[in-house]
Formats: sequence, C-alpha cells, structure tokens
Amino acid sequence: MKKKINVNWSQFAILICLILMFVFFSLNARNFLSYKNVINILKQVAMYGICAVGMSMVIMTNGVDLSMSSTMGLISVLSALMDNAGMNIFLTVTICILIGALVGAINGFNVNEVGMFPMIATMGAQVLVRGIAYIVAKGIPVYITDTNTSKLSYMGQGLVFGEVPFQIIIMFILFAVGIFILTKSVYGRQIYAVGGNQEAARLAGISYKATRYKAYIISGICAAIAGMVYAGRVGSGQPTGGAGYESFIVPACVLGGVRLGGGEGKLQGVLIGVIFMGVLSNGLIMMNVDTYWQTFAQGAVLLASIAFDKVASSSDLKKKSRDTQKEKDKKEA
Amino acid sequence: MQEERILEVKGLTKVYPGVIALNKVDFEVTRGEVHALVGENGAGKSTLIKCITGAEKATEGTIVFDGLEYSHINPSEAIRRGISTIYQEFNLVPFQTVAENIMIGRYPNKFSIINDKEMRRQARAIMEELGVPIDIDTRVSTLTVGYQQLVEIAKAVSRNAKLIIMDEPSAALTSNELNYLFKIIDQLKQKGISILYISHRLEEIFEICDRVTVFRDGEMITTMNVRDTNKDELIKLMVNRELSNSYPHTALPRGRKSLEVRHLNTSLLKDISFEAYEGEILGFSGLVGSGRTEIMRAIFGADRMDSGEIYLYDKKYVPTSPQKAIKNRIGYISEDRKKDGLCLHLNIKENTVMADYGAVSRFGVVNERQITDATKKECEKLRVKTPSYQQLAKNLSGGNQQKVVLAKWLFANCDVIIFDEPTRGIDVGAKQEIYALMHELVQQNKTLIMVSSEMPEMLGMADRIIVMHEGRIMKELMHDEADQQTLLKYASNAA
Repeated sequence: MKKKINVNWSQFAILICLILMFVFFSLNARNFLSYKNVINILKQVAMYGICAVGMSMVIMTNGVDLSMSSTMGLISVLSALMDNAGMNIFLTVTICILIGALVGAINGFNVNEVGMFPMIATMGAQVLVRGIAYIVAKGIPVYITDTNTSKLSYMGQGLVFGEVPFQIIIMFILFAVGIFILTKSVYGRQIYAVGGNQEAARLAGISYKATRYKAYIISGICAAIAGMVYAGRVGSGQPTGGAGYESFIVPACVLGGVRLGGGEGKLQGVLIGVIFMGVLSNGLIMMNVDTYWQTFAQGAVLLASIAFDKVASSSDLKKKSRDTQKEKDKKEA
Repeated sequence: MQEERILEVKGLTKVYPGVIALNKVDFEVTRGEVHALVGENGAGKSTLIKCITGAEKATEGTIVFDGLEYSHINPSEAIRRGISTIYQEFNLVPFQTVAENIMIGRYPNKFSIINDKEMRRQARAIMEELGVPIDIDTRVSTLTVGYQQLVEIAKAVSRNAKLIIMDEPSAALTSNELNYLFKIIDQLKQKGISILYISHRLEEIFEICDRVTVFRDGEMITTMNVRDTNKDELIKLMVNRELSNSYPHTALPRGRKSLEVRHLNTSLLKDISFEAYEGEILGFSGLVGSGRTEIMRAIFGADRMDSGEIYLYDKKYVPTSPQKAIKNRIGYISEDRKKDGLCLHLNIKENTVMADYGAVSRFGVVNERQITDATKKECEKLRVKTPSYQQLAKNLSGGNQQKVVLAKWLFANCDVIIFDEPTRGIDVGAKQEIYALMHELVQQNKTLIMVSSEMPEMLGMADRIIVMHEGRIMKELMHDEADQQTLLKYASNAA
C-alpha cells in the first residue's frame, strides 16, 4: 500500500526560514558556523526551550502562562539559598519542582474554579510570585558560595562527556518527554481535545478541568527547572531573573506552529521555533550589529516570519480543503 | 419590458482537478418564484451556488443574471447587483445591534461619523416593511437562531436583493420560527424577489416552493413544477435508486427496564418521570425549548439537576458528570455536532476513540495500532466516506461527521444511547443508514432514546413517544396511537 506523506507545510515554512537564516549568518558573520558557536546558541536557548515545553501545553489547552518568568526568578533564589545551606541536590530539585507545581496549581485553580481568563490569572501570579522572590532575596542577588563543587552550578555550567553542556541535555530530555506526552499518552490526546473543542471533549467524558490543571502544573514545573538552570548558569539566585522571557517563549511556540486558541501544535515545531529565535539573536551579535538595532531586527524578523507562516498555512489550508472536496466528489461520483 | 428570467445558467461546467463537479448544467430561475434545489451531499448544489455568487470560477459556460452575462463575477459585485446568500452559519456580528447588523458596511455617515438616527430609521423601515417584530436596538446575540435568520434576510432585502439564496434555512428553526420564515418568503415573492431554496427537508419544498430542480452527481436531472411531483419521486430522482422503506424500524419485544427517571426537576424541567426499556426506541417529541434536550443533558450529567432520582437497571445512579455517565455506559449524541459533538481540528481516529481512551491505552500510553483498528471497525460499519482516517473532522460532509459522532458512541460500547436530533442537516442516503443503524442497535438489546423535531422521523422510528410542553411531560403515546396531529396537539398544549 502506498503511504501518503502528509507534509505539514506551515512547520516546513519555519524550518526553511531557519535554514535560510542559518546560511545567511554563516556567510556574513565570522565564526558563526563553528561547533563552539552552535553549542553556544543551544546553551543560550536552553532555558527558553525548557519553558516552551510547558508553555506549549498550556497554550494548546487554550490558555497561556505568563507567570513562568517570575517562577524562574523565585526558584533561582530559593535553589541558591538551599544550595548554600548545603542541602542535598536531589532534595533541592524536588522541593523546587513542588513549588513550581504549586504555582501551576494556583493558576489552574484561578482559571478553572474562579473562572479567570488565563492571561489575567497568570499575569496576577506573575506579579505576586515576583514579589515573593524579592521578599525572600531581600531584593538582592543570592550568590552561590562555592560554584566549583555546587551541584546546582552543574545544572547551568556542567559539561557531560566533557563537552556537552548539561542544560542542553536537560532541554532535549524535556522536549522528548513532552513529545512523548503529546503523541503517545492519553493525556496528550486530552490536551488536543480540550483545546480544540472543550464542550465536545467534556461530553466525551474528558475532564477539561483536570486537563487544564495538569497543563499549568507542567508549565510550573518547567519554569522551576529553568529557574534552577538559571541559578546555576549565572552563579546566583536573581529575584529579577527571567523577567521578560515571555516575549521570547510565546513567539517561539507560535513560530513552531502552536495555535493560539488551542488544539493544535507539535513540540517538534516548537523546538525549531526556539532554535530559530536563538540563531537570530546570536547571529546578530556575531555580525556586531548595534544592540538597539538587534532588538529592532528581532522584532521585525519575528513579525515577518509569523506573517509568512500565516500565509503559508492558509494557502496550505485552501489546498487541503480543495483536495478533500476533490476526493469527496470523486467518491460520490 | 423586463425579462421574465432573473437568472439563467447556460452549459455551466466546473472541473476540479480530477473530478467534474458540475457538468453542462442548464438552469433558470424566474422573477418572483421560490425555486427549490435538491440533491444529495456532493451532487453539485453548493458548487453551482458558488459559481453564481462568484466564490468560484466556472470552467465553462455562462451565467446571466438580470441582463448581465458573466462566467465569473467578483463576490462583492454580485451582492451589489442583487444576489444575496444566507448561509447556515450567519454573517452577523453578535455584540452589535440589529440595526447595525442590517446596515453593516453601508452606515449612513458624514466624514466617517455615523448618523445613528438615520441608520436606525432605515433599519426600522426595512423591518416594518417585512413585518418582522424585532426591536432594532437589541443585540443580535440575544436573539434566537430563527430571529437571527430574519435579520439576515432583512439585511439582504435592504441591499435590494433580487435573488436570495437560502442554504438550509430551516435546519435550526423551531416550527414557529419556520412558519415565520415561510410568511416572509411569501412576502418577498410578492415583491418580485426570487428565492433559491436549498433544503434536505422535502416536506418544506411542497409547502412553499413553486418549482424544484434535482441535481445528482454534478448534473441537472430535471426541473419540475412542485405540484406535478411528489416526495417519493423526488427521492428517487435524487438517489437514482428506490429507497424501499424509509423507516426500517419495526417494533421488537420489549426487554428489561434499563432506565428509570423519577421526579426529575431542574430550573426548566418540572417533575419528569419515565421509564425506558431495552430493545425499544423511546422518542421525545415537542417544540424546541420544551425541555427535551435538557432531560437528556441531565441524565448524561452534562447539566445539574435540582432534584429527582435516576435508576439504571434498578440501581441508583446519580449523574454528576459526563465522565460518570460514560462509565455507566450511557452515550449522548448531542444535537449540534459541530458545537459539541466533534473536535473539528482533530482527525477521525481521535474523534472516534475520544470517549473511551481506556480501551486503547495502557498505563496512560495510547496504542496507535488499536486506535486505527478500532476506528476502521466502527467507521466501516457506518460506511464513513473518507479517503483516510487521518482526515480532519472539519473536512467531512455533514452526514459523515454525524457518522463519526455515532462511531464514537459505538466504540464506547454504551447500553443506553441518547440520539438528540440524529439526522439534522444530512442527506437522505445518510439518514437511511443512520436509521438502519438505530434498528440494528435495538436488536442488540440496547436502549435508544431519540429526541427529534422531525415529525416523520419520530412517527417512523419511535416505539413509544413522550410529548413535552414547557418542561412537562404532556402525554405518552404508543407507536400506533401517534400521528402528526396528536403530537402537535399535545406539544402545543391544545389538548
């Protein structure tokens, strides 16, 4: 039997954009195309990538989690404090993950039970959690006292096999887990169903509340992991850590094909989206573009690529519906 | 002198790559007539409409509308020339007023500042002319579907439409609203406006249409005066085969009592008590809004009930959520498949197994192969027409979508299955298949509960009919006691 290959053109588009951009920078920026720099790019996007896994799932349930950035900040402070107190790293990680999950559960509660819009609920949590981070850190960074032996530092600076940064591995592991959840688990199906049509999902016996709780908890956990990596990487817990990360994470998800409004998206695409964002900012730095113009260029390329993506997917859609009409007609003819 | 024909289609052909959707179609509509267009899904009706309104470009042939000959027209040009289309999905802005919706895109204004008074005056004039009793200052979102449709018609009339195309206008209307629609159509006719009326409900065609044109497989089969034909002939022409018995269901011996509802009350329902048995189809008749759907949703746990008791096979059952209902093997095919029956963005497979992931997964991990097998089994049984089970639900025709919804509940293996308007908006062929399936399910000792606004379907399929009026049960009738008049009498509380 001939298997029909289903090309998802919109995901293809972003991949093509990424390749084009990569080629452009390779030709125009010295030292861009080197093993060291590629690893560097991945290192730079690791925290964004870790967050994007959770963010994608929340967006797919027709929500958004704007509290991730400040959860990162809080966790970086808390993990640094625990590390300095000599706590066992596994205990530290466990506690931090639980705190992240708690923030997620609160978001889920506000969205599910109180009925807040996800944007407002998580924006409130963002400010609140940031406040806690300041209170705990008394407004100043908490430096990790012994960065040489600290296991927390290893999360942000360690090398596996002597050359691959541990944070990149964490990112890829989280993507692998996320892809597994979305494609192979019952919960993944429930995310797509709830995001696609909440009422239909409910009448099919899927608890949309549970589905959303889990999504926010997962994103809280992702933010917590990113927060620990952050602390390890900069060698301190920063109460301001992660601020503004949403403007990187949400676009990366959308570029990767996650539909704002829910029900559609793949983490494979999101990974490409994250790398796309990383290559863009790294390439501009390597080309010695002025910082202010870098920010400008990032915004412009971002809008352009999302527009391109929209055009590509809508023509793709038209073609698809034409195809089905054709097949339908054929069948009935 | 004015040409008597408003629309003439000459040798129109539309070829999509690989298939001929319309094959040399000749067709005409005269001024002031109500012309019905019938045919199965995929017969070419929609393609014809799309060519007329400019949404698609014909491959060959021409269209003459009101003296203007074209093979392709710009859609906005078509509207300006007087072709208006009222689709099943309305093009109304929900949170704006009726007046704003009628005048949309043509607000009377000076330097872009809207003259509100003038706008409302014009809108009111149109509503009065049509005799529609809607306050033009109400928000469209607060109107019923029927009234929203009247707003659409008013919008069309206000744009000096000469031809109004109505695509399944009756699909979502109550019988009251339908009467209103017919009255308006009559008025439009008096004004010399022509109407192209597309409907799967053949009864309506005999009620209001002058002529009828039958399409089949992209070809125009014939145009007839409605008074010279009958329903059976039309069906025969549409499907090109004799449909032996419209309703295959014959009563079977009644089995065990499966469901018992005692004194169910909600804000809308008052003291509902009834029993349902294995091997029978229990029908719920009544006007839209009489509480039929609310009973079903309460049993299914989709809505909360205030008081009352429900027994499943003599065991007490408290409906708290759809999840629990499904665990207790109750299935609910909802009345609006697009709104709450399907996840349109997901493919057939996902939709089919949605109500019972447990059967295709272990430890929370799904088995892709089992999903495929299950989908194949259920969808083949129902003869879902699709090139692949990866097809997204939104790309299927109405009949096939409904079959996927049925597949979902067959797969969930329910004992009590509630069919809420099971054949709304689907063609004759698919209807037949769904009726046959219902009969088959009853033979397997399932309990079927059917809510339907279609009288013939109710009378043809149900073994026992409960008639509702304003949240109360008015009467219970056996199959032999029921006829259209009796049902209407109790439904309108005229007994």
